[in-house]
Amino acid sequence: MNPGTDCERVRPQLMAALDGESVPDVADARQHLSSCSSCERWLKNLESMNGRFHAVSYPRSQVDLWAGVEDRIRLPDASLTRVHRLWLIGALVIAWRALQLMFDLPLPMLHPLVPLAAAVAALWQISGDPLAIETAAPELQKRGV
Amino acid sequence: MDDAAARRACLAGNVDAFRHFVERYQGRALAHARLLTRHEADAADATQDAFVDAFRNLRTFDPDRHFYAWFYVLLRNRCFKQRSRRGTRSESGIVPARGVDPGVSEEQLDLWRAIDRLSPDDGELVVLKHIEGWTYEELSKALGVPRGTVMSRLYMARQRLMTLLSGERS
Repeated sequence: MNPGTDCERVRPQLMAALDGESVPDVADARQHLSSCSSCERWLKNLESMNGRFHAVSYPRSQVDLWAGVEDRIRLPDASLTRVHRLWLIGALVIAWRALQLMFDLPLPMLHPLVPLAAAVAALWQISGDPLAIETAAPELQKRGV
Repeated sequence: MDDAAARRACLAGNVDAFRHFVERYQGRALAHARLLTRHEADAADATQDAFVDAFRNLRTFDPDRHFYAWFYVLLRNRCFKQRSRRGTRSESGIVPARGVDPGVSEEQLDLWRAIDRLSPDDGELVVLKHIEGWTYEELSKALGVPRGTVMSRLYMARQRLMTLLSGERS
């Protein structure tokens, strides 16, 4: 038999109460339970399923990660995080603009943005793409690990 | 050595002390990573990355909290990155192999098979609730969703699991 609308509404509350969670409308849910054989059966099934988990443990693993982790954490963390890289580039832009305003230096041979672009590109090259998703330590990426 | 002492030792510069965390939590971390990535090699990579992240951010771990609840957020992020790199391709299940784990009972295998057939998100909720025993509040923090969402998602996940288990019985 398919549960009615009331059943669908109260079952999450009954489940939460069974989990020991505080449920605001639990009295209402319990009242429904006392007169609904479908929900009573459902709750017994849920209790029975919960009981099956008591003996469950995680599958044993033969993988030992320590050696790999140790190799990496012993290396100095010289890499700049993405946030640091973005901050650095931002600071560079502001510093460049401030210098331009403070000294008003004419740079007739170069467009004023060229040295800044070169500095940003150099930083990008040295410390990596600030927008990249970091999935491994840069020093390992360089080693092709 | 407990987690707080290991943390203190690591922060004092004793890298070896971090071994405590790896040895204590790698089993369950790998199981969770397998659940989220459904890929054996990705799970190992993500777990290793997460331990390295944990070491580098150990200062932000509040020793009054449970280490694994803090670590799980790092692990989950790493698993999602691995998943986004691989796309939706999944290569391995989470059911323990008899050869690797001879102590596992037939009933446990049934449960793991059913969990394996859930989506990674449903499986994650079921495992964190039933095996880790996390409260809705803890689940809410770890998964970054409101408590009400945890309740409704857990309800749906359990409904699916009950259906799968009743299907296996019949």
